[in-house]
Amino acid sequence: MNHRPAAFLLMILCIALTTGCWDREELTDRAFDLAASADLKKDGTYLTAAQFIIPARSEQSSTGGVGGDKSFFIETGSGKSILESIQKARQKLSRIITRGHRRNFYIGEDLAKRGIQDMLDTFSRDPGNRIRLDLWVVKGNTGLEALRVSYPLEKIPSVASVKIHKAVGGTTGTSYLDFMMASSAEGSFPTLPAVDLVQGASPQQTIRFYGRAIFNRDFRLVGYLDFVEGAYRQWMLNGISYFDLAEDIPEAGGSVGVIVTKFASKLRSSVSKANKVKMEITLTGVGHVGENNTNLDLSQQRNLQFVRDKINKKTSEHVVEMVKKVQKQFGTDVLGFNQALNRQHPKEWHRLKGQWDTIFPDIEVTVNVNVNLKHIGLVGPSLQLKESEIKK
Amino acid sequence: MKISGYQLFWLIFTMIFGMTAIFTVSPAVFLAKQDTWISIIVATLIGLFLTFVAVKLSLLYPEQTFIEYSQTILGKWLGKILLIPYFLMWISVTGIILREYADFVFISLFSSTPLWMIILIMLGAVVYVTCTGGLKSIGRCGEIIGPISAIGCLLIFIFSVKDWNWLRILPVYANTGFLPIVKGSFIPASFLAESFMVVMLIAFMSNPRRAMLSSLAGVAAASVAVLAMTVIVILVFGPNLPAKFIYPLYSVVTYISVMEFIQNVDVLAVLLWIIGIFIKLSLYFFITSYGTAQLFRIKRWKRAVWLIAPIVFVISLLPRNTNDTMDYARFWLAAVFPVNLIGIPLLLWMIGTIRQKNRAH
Repeated sequence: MNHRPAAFLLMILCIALTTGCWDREELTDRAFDLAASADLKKDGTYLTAAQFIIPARSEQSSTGGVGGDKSFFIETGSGKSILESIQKARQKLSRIITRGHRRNFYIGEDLAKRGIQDMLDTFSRDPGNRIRLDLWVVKGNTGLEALRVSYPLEKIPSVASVKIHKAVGGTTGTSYLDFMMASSAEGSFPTLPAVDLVQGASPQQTIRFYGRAIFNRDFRLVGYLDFVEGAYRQWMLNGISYFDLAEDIPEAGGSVGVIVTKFASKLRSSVSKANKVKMEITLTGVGHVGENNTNLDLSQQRNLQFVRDKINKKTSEHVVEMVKKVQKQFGTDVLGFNQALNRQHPKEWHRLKGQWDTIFPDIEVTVNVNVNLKHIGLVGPSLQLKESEIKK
Repeated sequence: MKISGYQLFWLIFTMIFGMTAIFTVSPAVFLAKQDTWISIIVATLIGLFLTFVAVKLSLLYPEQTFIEYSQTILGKWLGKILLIPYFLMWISVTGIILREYADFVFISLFSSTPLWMIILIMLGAVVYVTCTGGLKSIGRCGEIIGPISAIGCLLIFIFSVKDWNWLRILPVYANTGFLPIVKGSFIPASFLAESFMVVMLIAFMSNPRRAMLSSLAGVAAASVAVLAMTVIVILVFGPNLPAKFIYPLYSVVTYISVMEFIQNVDVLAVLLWIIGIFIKLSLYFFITSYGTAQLFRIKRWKRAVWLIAPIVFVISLLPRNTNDTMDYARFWLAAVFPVNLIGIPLLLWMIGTIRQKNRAH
């Protein structure tokens, strides 16, 4: 028992040394960065901006958002690198920037066109940053403008783009890492989700999920896929959870809208002796009829099959158009063809990978969309139709 | 100072799993890309074989520690010369592990705390546990801490399920080949083979016959856990990125987001690391102190603690940055692993077996 007093003293010493924070950085000393942006200035330097939460105002329940007291403020800085421009912003901040809650980073179109390779490293190197981050390209506008938008539904407007992305069936938080994985893989090209700013119904501008921005190997923006094209691409890559298909069926005198869930895709590749690559894409899903503007009675099996075949055929054509656009207009493999070939024909892939960029635009693609219409909703034919108008 | 087979199992599991999972995935993926999981299986086989040799060797003289029976087998002077590389290894690796721990905690949690303070707090805990009960206390710690480490591993597994993409682990074998896979297995194997320290522990077992089962099960369980973590890292980050992260498993854990609710659980990885390190450090520290006492015939072995602690502290402050500790890991792979963990044990085992047979005749 004689060593107890010494141990006791040591423990008291430990209490004195280990309680609390070593450097006393408390909540009131921190500024929470919720979203940030980077733009290219005329003189070629970066302009970064960040949206900070104002803790005192965000606690008031109803006042945030439109007009009056905003629950956030924006601070900017500029410099020849991201870190330097953040340094400039810090000269105006009374608190230390904490990025643990940052979800969004907006990149202005001008900067995206010039190339973004110089700003990618800091997101993963600095342990204060989260790699679960969405980078966005702001189509036709600057990142700063995207930060300035005050979105009425969310107290902190920058949360909006994440929530929109999720609500339309996308995957959130993965775009930075997906970008890095695509750029470090052989044959792939990186992409980022894109937003644009549009005049909403209310007087001020609002933020809109636009689609997908495509980059080349120099990390320069080469073009966009719009929302529907982007959704087709996500479908091919198994990255979608919700999508509405609406196709005209002239034979039945109207359009039919289908809500698709349970997506799956299969890419089957083949290489001919003359190094011709063929890609067979099968997209499947479960459909629920959401609107039926034809005079067909969908409770009839025959009619439902007719509609299903028409929709599948039309959608297949549209997917082919999207693939053709990517192949011919951009020439960048953002569709996972390289990985499919690598998985299925590794030997051929090792032979072809050096010249993949020239092979890709000429790949012969067949698309086979197969949405199974499982539910027709609560009515068979539309209610307003007279008995004589209904096509059984 | 006795430990049970159950305690030995948890000691080996905890000490191997934490370090191997956080430290070896990056260099292994650098070589073996998406086939690193095959490398880990190869490493497991190597680790199990070396553990088997170490236990067999110890069971030749189950009452003696490595210090004693190496002199019994090779004679007094040759045995002592043989022990020099082991003491160098034990002292240096204790210091380096301490530093690796401090660097990791520094970058992930306490970026303003002086490094020596982080080191000193851990060293204090290690010295305390060694001084109060020696191996008995460490064994009991292992019994409690080991399951926590296993649960942490399980939680990382469950939380990351949402971000898995099975296509990232394909194609199997086609992109790498035999040589990269085998090369990629050496670094994990050199960490798994640290179970060699059982040569000092079996003498303290209340029932040495259980040593073989406990050690092999400990290494196997730790390898399975490491394998799971490696697969997770590849499924989340793909075949190219993990090699570029310093601590890929930590980065995977920071990436976790379950239903937008369970986020920022970095503490989980830090916890695994810290408790794994604690057990490992305590074991190495105990072995070094006890071994020194036995070698120099110091009657009360706890006095050796006060000799070893300052040396270890100084060694931990020597590396200039994390690159120096990485160089040590390379040195470990190139020199310590083949000599101390493969060559000498095999040699001793063969000579020892022959000598015992001769005596029997």
